Amino acid sequence: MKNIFKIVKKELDKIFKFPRTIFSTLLLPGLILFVIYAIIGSLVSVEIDKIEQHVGIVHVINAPDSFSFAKETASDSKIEFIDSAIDQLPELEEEIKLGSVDAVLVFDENFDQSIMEKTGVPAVKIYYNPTENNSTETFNKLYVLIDTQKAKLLEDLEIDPNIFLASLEEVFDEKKAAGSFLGMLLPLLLVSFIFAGAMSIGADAIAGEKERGTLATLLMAPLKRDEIILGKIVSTTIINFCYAASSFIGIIGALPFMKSLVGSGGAVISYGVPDYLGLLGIIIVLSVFASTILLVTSTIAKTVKEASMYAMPIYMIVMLLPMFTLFSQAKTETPLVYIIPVYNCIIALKGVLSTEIDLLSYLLTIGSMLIYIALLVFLLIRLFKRERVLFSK
Amino acid sequence: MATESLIVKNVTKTFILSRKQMKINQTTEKKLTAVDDVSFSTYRGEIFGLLGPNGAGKTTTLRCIATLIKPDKGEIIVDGIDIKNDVEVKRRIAFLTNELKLEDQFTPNYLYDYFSRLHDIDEKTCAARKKELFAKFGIDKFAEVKIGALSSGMKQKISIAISLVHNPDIIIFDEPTNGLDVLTAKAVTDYLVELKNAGKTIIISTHIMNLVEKICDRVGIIIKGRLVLCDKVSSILSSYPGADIEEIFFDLYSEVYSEEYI
Repeated sequence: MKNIFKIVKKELDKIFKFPRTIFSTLLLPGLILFVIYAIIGSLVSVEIDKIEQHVGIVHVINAPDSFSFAKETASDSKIEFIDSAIDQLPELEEEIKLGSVDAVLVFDENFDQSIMEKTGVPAVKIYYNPTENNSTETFNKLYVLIDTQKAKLLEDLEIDPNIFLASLEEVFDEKKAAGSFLGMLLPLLLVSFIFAGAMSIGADAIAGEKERGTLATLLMAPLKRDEIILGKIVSTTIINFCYAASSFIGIIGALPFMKSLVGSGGAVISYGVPDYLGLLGIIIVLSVFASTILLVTSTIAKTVKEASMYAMPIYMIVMLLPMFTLFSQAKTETPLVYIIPVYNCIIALKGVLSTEIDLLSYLLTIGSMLIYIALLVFLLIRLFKRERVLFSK
Repeated sequence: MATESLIVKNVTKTFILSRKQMKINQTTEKKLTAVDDVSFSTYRGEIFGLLGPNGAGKTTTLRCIATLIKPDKGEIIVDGIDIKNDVEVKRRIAFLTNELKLEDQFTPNYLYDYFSRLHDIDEKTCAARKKELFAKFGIDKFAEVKIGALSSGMKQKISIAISLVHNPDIIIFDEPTNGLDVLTAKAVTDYLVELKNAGKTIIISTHIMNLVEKICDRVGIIIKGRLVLCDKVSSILSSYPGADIEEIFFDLYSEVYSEEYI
């Protein structure tokens, strides 16, 4: 045990003793994600603000008296109405495509008269460009105005527009609502951070040392090979965990900038200590699993390049797994899925975040992951004792 | 009578060749016998030289003794301990080859302390020995410079110092002067003689004939994995009057190859 810690200390010193490696391994991943997401969030907010401030240019053809209220309140709804003739329509359609006009409203002739005299069902056509944000926003405003116009006309006909009332009563668990958003995003992010970190750190831990000839020097120290490999697993897991934590903090730090994107995303703080401990347990077993499986590829490989090549298919499979759970509910899973490696952690993470997971499923996840880790450690120790694996050229 | 510090008995080591290695060796054989039934012993207070051309099996023999690889057959006893007990054997030997490198990002000071800790050496002894070894090899001048920034000669000196952190009784150096400038090479060979005089066993592998004549007490000539001659350097020279080690080596080399040809 003492020897394992001596190795762990040296491996951690490799990172923590040098400002450059502290920056590149611990600060940079979080910083990059923070900057990227903060920029994306800010740009989206700016874009949304622009759309909200935009005054929609709407040409109205055959405007009836019943629509005059809309023109009177035009400045409030940030729309500028321009009366036009029907023969201008083709030209206006081109302008909608170009974005210089946001929408055109075409009322049938004698619109109000047809309604009041009940001589027909007149139509109003809204021309707009769904590929232009300003045009779409203007269309939404026009839709509301036309609805109001309809209600007013019904009143004029002495028909109560509110013949029935529809009201929405939202019944949901606040934690679950926040959790479903986080449950969708968080497993994907965590799995990608943990495995991306383990890929680079794991590749160097053994294959890198083989390539540089420093592993043979370590093998000449009076240590059992099991101690060396366990030292490598523990140190790789710790560094990997820090890397993932840095990335995670970067994302959480950028959440305030992403409000327009994620809505209730900030609700992460509403969890209690058991929830956080539950999350931590899953993250730890996932980190150890990622480090161990990628140390296996690193041990088999002769060079860092080869180790990265072997690790790539594992990374790709692992990255696909969260996609399967992205839009599914955590509770619908059968207990057997809690023993599928990595996938079980993803659904367990979702379950903890939406507070839907039961104790048995959680223990099944942690227990099965520990068994997989034990098997991988056993494999690593076996590989580490094989001359062909350690000294192949 | 001198005590045996190392016994190598009927050691054979074969390697399975990959297709690439078969091509390089220009052979269709899938197995390569790198060491073929080699036996020899070494004693305290002597320098034993393993002499042979490249690929003769010198390094493989030394790697077996150092417990890095396991022989297929035979027995190796280091200071009374079978190499199966690798941890105890490694406490008693120093093994240095060009393939063993130090991590570039650390300083000589850090790595010396680290390997001392791995050998369970207390801090006081570590500090005293480090002072002595660093002064001997002039490492104290660059003790706080990262290994990556040092020249190959400086790195070799550090490797030697670090391999000796635990003051071992048996010191195995594979091609100890390879790649060193004349001054560093002389410092290394002088130190080996000094260690021998202190009662240590030194085993070196080399293909430099004149190094054998100069510092070795006994020599084993290894050709194609077989130990074809093993005796005191003085006895060998007296059995071949007028010839030096180089001439004796070439005679033996031609004999082995002509036997094979016949």
